[in-house]
Amino acid sequence: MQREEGSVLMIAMLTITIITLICATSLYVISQDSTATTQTTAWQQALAGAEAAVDHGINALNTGVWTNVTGNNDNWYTVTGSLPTSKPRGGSTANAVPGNDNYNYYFPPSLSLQGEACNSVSMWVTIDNANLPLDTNGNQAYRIRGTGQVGAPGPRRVSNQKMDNDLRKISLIYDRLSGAAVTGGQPMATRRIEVVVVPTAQSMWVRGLLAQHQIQMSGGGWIDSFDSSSGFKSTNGLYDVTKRQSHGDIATNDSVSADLKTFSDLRNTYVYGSIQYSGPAIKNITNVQGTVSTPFATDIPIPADPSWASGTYTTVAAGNPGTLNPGTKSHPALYKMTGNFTVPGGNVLNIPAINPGTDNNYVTLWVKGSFTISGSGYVNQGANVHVTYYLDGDVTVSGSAFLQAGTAYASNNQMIAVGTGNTTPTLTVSGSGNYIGTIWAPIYGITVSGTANLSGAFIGNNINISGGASVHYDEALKNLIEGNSTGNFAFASWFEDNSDPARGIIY
Amino acid sequence: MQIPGVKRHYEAAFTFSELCVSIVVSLLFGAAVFATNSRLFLALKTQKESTAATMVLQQRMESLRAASYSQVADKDYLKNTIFSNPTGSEEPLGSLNEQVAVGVYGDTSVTPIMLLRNPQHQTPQMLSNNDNLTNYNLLQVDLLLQWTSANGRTRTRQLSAVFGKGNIGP
Repeated sequence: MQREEGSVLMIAMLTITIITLICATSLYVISQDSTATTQTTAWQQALAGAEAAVDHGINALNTGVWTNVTGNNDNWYTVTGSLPTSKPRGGSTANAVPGNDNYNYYFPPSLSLQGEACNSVSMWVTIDNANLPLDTNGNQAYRIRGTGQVGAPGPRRVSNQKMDNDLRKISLIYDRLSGAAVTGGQPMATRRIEVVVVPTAQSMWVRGLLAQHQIQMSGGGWIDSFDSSSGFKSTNGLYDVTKRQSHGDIATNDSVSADLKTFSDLRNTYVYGSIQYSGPAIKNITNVQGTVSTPFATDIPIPADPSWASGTYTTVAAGNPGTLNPGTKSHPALYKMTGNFTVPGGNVLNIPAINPGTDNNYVTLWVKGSFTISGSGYVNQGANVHVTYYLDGDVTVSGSAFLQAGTAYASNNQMIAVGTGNTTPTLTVSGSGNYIGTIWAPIYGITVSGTANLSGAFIGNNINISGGASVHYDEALKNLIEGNSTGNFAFASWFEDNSDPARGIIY
Repeated sequence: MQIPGVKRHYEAAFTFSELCVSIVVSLLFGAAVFATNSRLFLALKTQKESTAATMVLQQRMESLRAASYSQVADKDYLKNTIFSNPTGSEEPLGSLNEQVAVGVYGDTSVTPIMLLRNPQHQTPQMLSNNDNLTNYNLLQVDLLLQWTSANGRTRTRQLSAVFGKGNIGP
């Protein structure tokens, strides 16, 4: 006879036990995953808080508002000493950027959130100069640290994925920044963003190239600087590659071309200076020796035709006037040409120095038509003669088209391309030789081809330099023509400080 | 009368009872396992939704962070560029209502720009507008997601941030 019938219950119980264990394990894993998901949410909210804190910092620098920031009597404070690792406290109300031995801090009002996860994001931000060097215009860069902190709902339990725990450093028991126990035993997510912001010089002549739109470089040339007013940084006031300086900065308000078809591309041209831009990232900047920062925003002044009263100027016929005698510094000679200006090959326009004194010969020529110097034609400019061109039409010159007697200074040769009545004006510099001067042509498409060396500073709509032409910014221009003013601050670096001092992870 | 050599099986009746109990217990347990399994699947779906919501919010916030201050304050840019298309992560979120509000940080009296995108309005619907937000130095952006979860419950997630003038562009 069989006696096994009674074992059914045992088998059932065993099966139940096994399935129960499977269910319990699944519940445990799901529960852990659920906690990790919630912690991920808190981690994300903390990042938004940290980024918001950084924006508070750059807003303070850009606007200079340090008190009553939101209209709720909330202020920045300044504290003497170095930055704390955890929440700053104490100090007096700040009213300016921090100096060398202090920092500013601010606790913005918390952000309230609806729905799941944490319902409040707190943040704080500090600004100090971190002993960063002044830029070439004497302006200070700053370090901004923004911290966001939110509660991490759920039990004090780590994820079952080790990589989750390594990536998201939730403060379950101890605050990872201060090392102290978390407030109220509530797990916290804290994230910190540290950025370095650099000032953007607002003045027109503080950099080598300034474009409203794209900048294209190719052909093996380079961009650097010299100082015509210093014998240590130039030779007889002229660019000398052996005395090269590294302030050949370039900037663009919008790195896309005006027709939105092409993007700025330096093609690994050597830039002995820094780049500041807005818009899509400039391509191929490997050989930029300075910093690359964004955003950049400056109002490039649009030049206008002169408004000369009748009888104050001399009308000259179209073509080549032959000779233009200058006036004095206080009464420059004014010439207006309603037609096209042309100096063909083998011809010369003379502008001699006829007035006594080293700074007393000034000429302004206003050309309503196109401006062309071709072939071997050139302008023969006397020593220390200051010539200003107002140009309304297209401009075509060669690099050797302007010959200055004595020492050639960029400030003595100013080309102001207005472009009146010309929707897409162009300015072309071709051939070889040295062009020494400034070009202020914010609506012109500037094309430089050939192997010309351009010394001075250049402003255009789109700037395209090819064929090996190089640009040498004359640092003396910013002192000779215009003072220095600061525009917005631009981000030069941005990273998350993911250190965990309590666990010995320090960056 | 008992037949010699043949033992009587007293366990037979007990085994039947035991079988019945086992069946009942097994049925009960099966139901419990089914319920647990359903709950686990629900929890998994909930987590999937949470992760999807996190990714949707992150994508939107990244897009906003890549925009200049004036673009963030521009209803047309928000409507036609950032919120014109669904995100790539919102498929698990049923009947999703995505709302963005751009207002003045610290001043709720100023009318914000509010856009709503949902199954009825795949192109964002303008709930309110303010063309003068660039006059202020600090903007608060609230991204709000509401969707119907797998268990029919309405779920809500929000992510907020502050944008300062001149963040990455004027």
